[in-house]
Amino acid sequence: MKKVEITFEEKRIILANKRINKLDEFVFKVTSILEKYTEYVIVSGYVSILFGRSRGTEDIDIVISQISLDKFNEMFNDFVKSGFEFINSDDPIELFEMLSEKQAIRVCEKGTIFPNAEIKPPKDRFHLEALKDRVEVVVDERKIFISPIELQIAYKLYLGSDKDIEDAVFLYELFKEHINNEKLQYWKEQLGVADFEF
Amino acid sequence: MSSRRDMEDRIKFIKLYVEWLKKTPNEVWSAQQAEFINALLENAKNFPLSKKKYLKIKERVKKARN
Repeated sequence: MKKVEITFEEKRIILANKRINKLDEFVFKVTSILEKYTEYVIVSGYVSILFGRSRGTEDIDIVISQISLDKFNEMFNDFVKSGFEFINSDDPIELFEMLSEKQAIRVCEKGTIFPNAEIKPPKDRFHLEALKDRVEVVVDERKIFISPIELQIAYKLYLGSDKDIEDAVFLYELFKEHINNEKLQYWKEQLGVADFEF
Repeated sequence: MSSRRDMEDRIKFIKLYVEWLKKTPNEVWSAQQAEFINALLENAKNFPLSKKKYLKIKERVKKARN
């Protein structure tokens, strides 16, 4: 059997020969629509699941760039045409207003609740930084964008639940030969978790 | 939150798991992961929850976290 590793390039990670699960499929479908209308970055526990963490999640946190009402309407129609619905409301104006008020909206496949994508505008400078410095992950023929690993690790430590700390340890252990330790320390300090030692 | 000792044990487990992951071909670990995640999502379909109720639960969790 051919052993395949994860390949690291500048702002790009290649993950070959991954057996795609239903959660991955969902993420690919959602992001393939999002990317037509706005920039996005995945910031949630899904990042660790993508790379092999053995746990489930019911929602995928996705931060998006600012979007106009016209673009949002187009995106809404594209989601609906592709078999999705929004959990919060069926009204695109109401959903757009929620985003404008810095609230998250949730989209799922029609007739389901799980999994769903929690789509939100940036709520702090860490989200803005994640968008600006997003990392492309190539999974076979598909690509998605995730938060820089160093920021993702520090942010998970900051969130601080058992599950978040485990995700942070998982990512650190998996990527420790490749991450920029200065950057990791910087983000840990910015987020008040500099004392955490792996 | 778990006790400190529980957390230490879980972190040790994660470190061992990552060691295994690194020496296991992607197609092997991801096949196991797919089986696990697909089963979770399949079971979730049977969970009787309305959209309204789900949003309320998420709101409560968020408030508790903050």
